[in-house]
Amino acid sequence: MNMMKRKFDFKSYSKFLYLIFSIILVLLGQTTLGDRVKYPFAYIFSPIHVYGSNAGKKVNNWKEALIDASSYITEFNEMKEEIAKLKVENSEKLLDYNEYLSLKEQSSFLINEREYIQAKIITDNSQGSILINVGKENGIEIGDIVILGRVYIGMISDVSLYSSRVRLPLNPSSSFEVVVLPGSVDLNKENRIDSLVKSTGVVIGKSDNILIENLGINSDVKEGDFVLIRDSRVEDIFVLGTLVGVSNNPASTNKSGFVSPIFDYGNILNVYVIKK
Amino acid sequence: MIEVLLIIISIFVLLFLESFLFELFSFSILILVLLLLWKRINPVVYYILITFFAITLDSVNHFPLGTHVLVISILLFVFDLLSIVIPSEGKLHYLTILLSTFLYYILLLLIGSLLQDGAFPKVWGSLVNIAVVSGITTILYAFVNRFLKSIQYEGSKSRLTLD
Repeated sequence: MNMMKRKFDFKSYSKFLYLIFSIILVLLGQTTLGDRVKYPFAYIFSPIHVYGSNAGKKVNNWKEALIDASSYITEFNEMKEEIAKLKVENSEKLLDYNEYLSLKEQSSFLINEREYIQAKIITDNSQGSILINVGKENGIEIGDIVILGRVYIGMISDVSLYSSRVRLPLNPSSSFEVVVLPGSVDLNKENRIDSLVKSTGVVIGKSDNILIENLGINSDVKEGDFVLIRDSRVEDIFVLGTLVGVSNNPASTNKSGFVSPIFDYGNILNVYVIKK
Repeated sequence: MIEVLLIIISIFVLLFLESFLFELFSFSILILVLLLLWKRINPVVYYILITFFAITLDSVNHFPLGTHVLVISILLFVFDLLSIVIPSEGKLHYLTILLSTFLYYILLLLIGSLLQDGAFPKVWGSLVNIAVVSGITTILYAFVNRFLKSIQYEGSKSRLTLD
């Protein structure tokens, strides 16, 4: 009787009852009724679940990006190396192409009775000289003229066994007698230039530019005119550059200006040495 | 009436946090709430709330109905058993929490896969992750538990002062 009177204690059996309930629910879930039970829950709560999951995914992407930051840096550095490698390959191709162009150009200007030695520029410096990869071994001597096509590049000032130093017109110790021709002259066609000379002059290297002096005060020299070297040391006429910055001082006894070289000496790759 | 409204809002917030944190860290806030509310609120209310939330999770996560409820019921059994073996007072209590949390994630993986696919899942690969998440859950439980105890203590102290 006492047992009958004892009040049912939910707390004592709650876990056991809940386990039975869960098993029943699982069994119910295996039937078609399970989906019917789940449907209203999914209908109400799915939007918030999707929203929460998407927000979590977005933050997770950032988290992974931050964790992988070091790998991105490595990848970036690898890409930089790859780009540098491609640039080197590309520049090699450009070098080959430039070499081909210079050879083509040189062949059209060759004076057959002379011996030309092709040389590659090793380095150039701001002191107005360049190093080329030919020397005594190739028969180079001090005073040999270095050209590219019909353009004067410089004069050999020092020779070692496998390399030589070329003194550019920019060099302060470089000076030549020159003539000025109209800028409209086609130097590839004109062979007789004596009648076209506007003035004679002297060019002196100034490290960063080439100064031209002693131009006739009455001469009609103007910007864009050709400046050609006509000097006993060079033994031929070569193009040096074009005239720029001509002074126009009536008090002066002569005109002066600057010569803009045909080539930027820093960009030349191949040159030709004329053997004496 | 306001309590019902608060419970409904809490369920929505909890579901958002559950979805967000599970996607982010594979962390379940349900187990934390489950352990924190255990023996703190009326058992009938507790079971109703837990069942409701568990069925909601089954529905939104496309688990077979009753998966979460079964896991929770087994967990509560084990939790009680562990409380007998390990003292429920003091720092050792957190070991019970750690083991229970670990068991929850393992059971969810096992039962979920068994009921859904009828196959045992590969648990070994997830063990480290589960261990880490269980550790975090235990730390969070410790913080919230202390906070709740301090609130209770403040409440009892003010009552004593009034008396």
